[in-house]
Amino acid sequence: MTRLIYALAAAFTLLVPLRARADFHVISPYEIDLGELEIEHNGSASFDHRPGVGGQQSYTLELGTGLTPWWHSEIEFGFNNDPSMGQPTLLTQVVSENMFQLTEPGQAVADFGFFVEYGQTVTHGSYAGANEITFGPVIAKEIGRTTHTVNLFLTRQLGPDQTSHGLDFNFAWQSRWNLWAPLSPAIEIYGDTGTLGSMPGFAQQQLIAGPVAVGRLHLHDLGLGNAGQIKYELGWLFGVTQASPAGTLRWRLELEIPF
Amino acid sequence: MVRTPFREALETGLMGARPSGIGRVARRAPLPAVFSRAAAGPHVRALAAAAVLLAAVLADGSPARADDLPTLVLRQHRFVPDRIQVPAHVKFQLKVQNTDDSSDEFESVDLNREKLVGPGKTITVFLGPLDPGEYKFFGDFHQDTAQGVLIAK
Repeated sequence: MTRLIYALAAAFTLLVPLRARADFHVISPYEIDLGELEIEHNGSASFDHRPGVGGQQSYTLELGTGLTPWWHSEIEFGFNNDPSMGQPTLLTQVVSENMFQLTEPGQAVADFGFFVEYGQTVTHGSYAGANEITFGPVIAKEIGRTTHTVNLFLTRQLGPDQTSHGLDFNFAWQSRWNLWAPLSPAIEIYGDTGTLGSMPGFAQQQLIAGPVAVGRLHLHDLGLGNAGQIKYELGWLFGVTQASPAGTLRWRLELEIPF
Repeated sequence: MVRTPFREALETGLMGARPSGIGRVARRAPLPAVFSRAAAGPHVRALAAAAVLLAAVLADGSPARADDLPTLVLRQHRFVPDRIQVPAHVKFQLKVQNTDDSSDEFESVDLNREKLVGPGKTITVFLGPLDPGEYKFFGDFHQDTAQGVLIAK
C-alpha cells in the first residue's frame, strides 16, 4: 500500500495538466536494478514509401538505478529526427522516468507496477514541443517459461506548445518465450489511440506489431569482469493500421554494472 | 521517453496541429470494409478482445504452495547448496541469505528473477509453479563463483 501511495503521489504531483510515451520499449515491473547502474540506449526508425511517414528516427540515452527495492528511476535524454519537418537530429526532451514495483514478483496472481514519467522539452522555435507526463499500470504474468507484459498508459501534454489538450491512451504488449538467455523470441504490440473522448477511427490510429529478439550476455562470459551484463532487444514492427508506418525498426542496448 | 515518430504522426495527422504526410495519406486512402463501420465498433471489439486476453493471462490455476525448503546461503560468493530441489507445479518461497560482507544479486534468467541481497541480509523470492526441469541461477555480482541450479521435480 505504501508503494501505491508513493506512486500515486508522484503521478499527481506531476499531473498539473499531462502526456509522454515510450520509445518502443515495453516497461517491465521486474527491473528495479537496486545496487546497479544502468546505461541504456533505445532507438527506432520508421520506414514507409509515403512521404513524411517513413524516415523518422528517435533515440534515447538513459541512466538509471534502483533507489529502493521497489523504485527504479532513470534520467533520459531524448533525440528526434524528422526529415518531413526539416528537423535534424536534436536533443528534444530530458525525461525523468520512474517505475514503482507494487507487488513482489511471483507473490500475487500477476505482477503489478506503476509507471510515471515527466518529459521536459528542450527545443525552441520551429522545433518546439510540449512537455509531457505519462503514467499508468504495468502488469506482467509468467506462464511456464513465458512472460507476458502489458503497459496501459495515459499521456498529457503540458506547457505553451501543446498540440493536444486531452489525455492520450497508449499501450504496449510483449509476450516473450524465455528460451535461452542470449536469445529469446518475443512478440510486441504498440498502439496509440489518440486523445480520449475524440479518438479517431481505427485506421487513423497508430498500431504496430511484430517479432523482437531479446537477450542478455553476462560480462563474465565475455571475459569482461565478474559482474554486470549487457542486454539487447532488436525488433521489426509491421504497421497494422493505414496511419502507421509500414515498418519500424527498434533496438535497445543496455549495460548493467553493479556499484 | 521522448516523443516518437509514432506519437508525432498521430498528433500531427489526427489533431490537425501541424501538417503531416502521414495524416493526409491516411485520410485520403480508402478504408477497408472492416474499418468503415461505426467508429465505436472496432474500439469496443478491440477492448473486449484485450479484456478477454488479459483475463486469460491473469488466470492462476495453481494455488498449491510448498513452504519447507532449505535456505539458500551465499557464502564466500558461492551458493550453498549449489543444487536445490523444489517441488514442481506448486508455488513456493525461496529464502536467500547472504553471509558475505558485500552485496550480491540473486538472479535467474530461467526464473525471471533478480533481487539484491545486502550483506548479512535474507530475502524471500517467490517462485513457481514450475514445470519439471532445471533452472539456473547465479549471483550477478560474482558470476565467476556464485552459480547454482534449481531442480523442479
